[in-house]
Amino acid sequence: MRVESVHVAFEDGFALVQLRGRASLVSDAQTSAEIHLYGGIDVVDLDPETGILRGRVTIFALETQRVSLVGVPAPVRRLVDDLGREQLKVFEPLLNSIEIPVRLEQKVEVPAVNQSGIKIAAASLPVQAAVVDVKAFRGKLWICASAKAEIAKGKPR
Amino acid sequence: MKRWIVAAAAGGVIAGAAGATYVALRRAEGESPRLRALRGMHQSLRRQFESHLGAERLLEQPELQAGDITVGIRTPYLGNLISEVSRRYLDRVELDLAPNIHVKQSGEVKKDTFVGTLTLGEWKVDLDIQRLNATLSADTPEISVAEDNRVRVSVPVRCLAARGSGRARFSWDSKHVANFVCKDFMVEESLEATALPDQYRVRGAFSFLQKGDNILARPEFPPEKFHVRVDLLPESWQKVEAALRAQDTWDRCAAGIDPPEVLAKLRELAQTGFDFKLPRSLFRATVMPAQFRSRVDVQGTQVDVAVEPRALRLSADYLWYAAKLRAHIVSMPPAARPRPSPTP
Repeated sequence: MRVESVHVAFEDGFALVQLRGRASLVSDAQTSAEIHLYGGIDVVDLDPETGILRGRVTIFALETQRVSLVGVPAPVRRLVDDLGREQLKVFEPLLNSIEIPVRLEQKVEVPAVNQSGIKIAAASLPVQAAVVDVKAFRGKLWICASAKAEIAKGKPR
Repeated sequence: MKRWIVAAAAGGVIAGAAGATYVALRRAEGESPRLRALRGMHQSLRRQFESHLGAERLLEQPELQAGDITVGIRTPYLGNLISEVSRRYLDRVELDLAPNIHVKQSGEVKKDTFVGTLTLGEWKVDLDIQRLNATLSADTPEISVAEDNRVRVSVPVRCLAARGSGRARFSWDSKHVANFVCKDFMVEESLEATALPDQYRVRGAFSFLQKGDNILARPEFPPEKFHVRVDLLPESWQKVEAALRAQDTWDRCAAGIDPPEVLAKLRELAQTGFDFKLPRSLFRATVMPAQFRSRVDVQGTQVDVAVEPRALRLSADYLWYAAKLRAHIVSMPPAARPRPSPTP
């Protein structure tokens, strides 16, 4: 299988991912079918180690567009369709994880200073970030994250 | 030209209407009542959804359309974050500085005589503070949103302990009649002083800017002088007093130089204090908690992302930053590389 293009639509509350590609037989590369795979970004996770936002695509439909085989097109088409219906999970490794180019930091840090007679220890404020909601509309994927930091209350010391 | 545009638009409308009618007829023919009901519900929900979106002021922000990715952080949260990080960071600041501070004071000693008031002489004190060791501690800063993507910061700073060392020179210059009978002298001693407890307010700002992939809060603290009042350590006072008493003889005009009086002057001078500048390197830039990434992994393939900043705006409600992204594949895992004959 080879994916040749990907189209993404964020509308109507759904993050639709459409993969267009070609499936061919191992034994005969000329026997091939144009296929469309439909999936959705249904989960966006935050990696607690790296703070990387990662979307997972679940494949839920396969559509065969055109089959070319000299002589016997129909059996191959049925074969490809049956394969798609029976084992959609087989196609998920094609695009099951997409990193979103935004990182949520797990802590805010200020480096130590030890120069020109000034000595200050490094400061670190852990931040607990989590994805709380993901919505798709108006051509955008909206990811809402919460972040909790250990912030002192009231006037200190 | 104008006519052509109108014609093209009319043609498009007619073609669109014909197409829509055809699709509607085809749908009506093949669709079950349940599917039609579902389509109606979908359209109704979509209208409701759009109406809700239209009422959401947040979505009117122009930054949301400024780039491929927009990050919005609530300003109150950001303010709390900066406050807390600053408080933790400046909780204990140790200074060991050679501030090169010079303090001078002078005065005259006058005496009433039968011929009137005579100036017996002039005294001068030069204080050089060569070393200053101090421990400062900051409390929670006050933060407010200012213009030009800045937050204004006011940090209460306390001096927990401070000790200075230097040299003090006391000189006496006889005048008029006293000049004939009194000798001039100069006393110089190494002294140590401690700072009197005080609280200061350090005022400045953090400005938000995009540097590479990072959004930074960059400190902007103008040079500002802080007034420090000091007192000599008891041992240093004893040294000064002993040195003055050594000069308290008739040939050195003891009548004019009264050690307790001079000591009081010195104490007054020390407690008047001196101005001191906090080093600007005290403050550091802080990286914001949500950053763009210049490289992502997609199914084992490294993709470089060129981040082109498009907008950055701080308002009372949100810090917005948006960027346009351009992807460029860096490496592909062996399994993903195109092969001459693709396989299922």
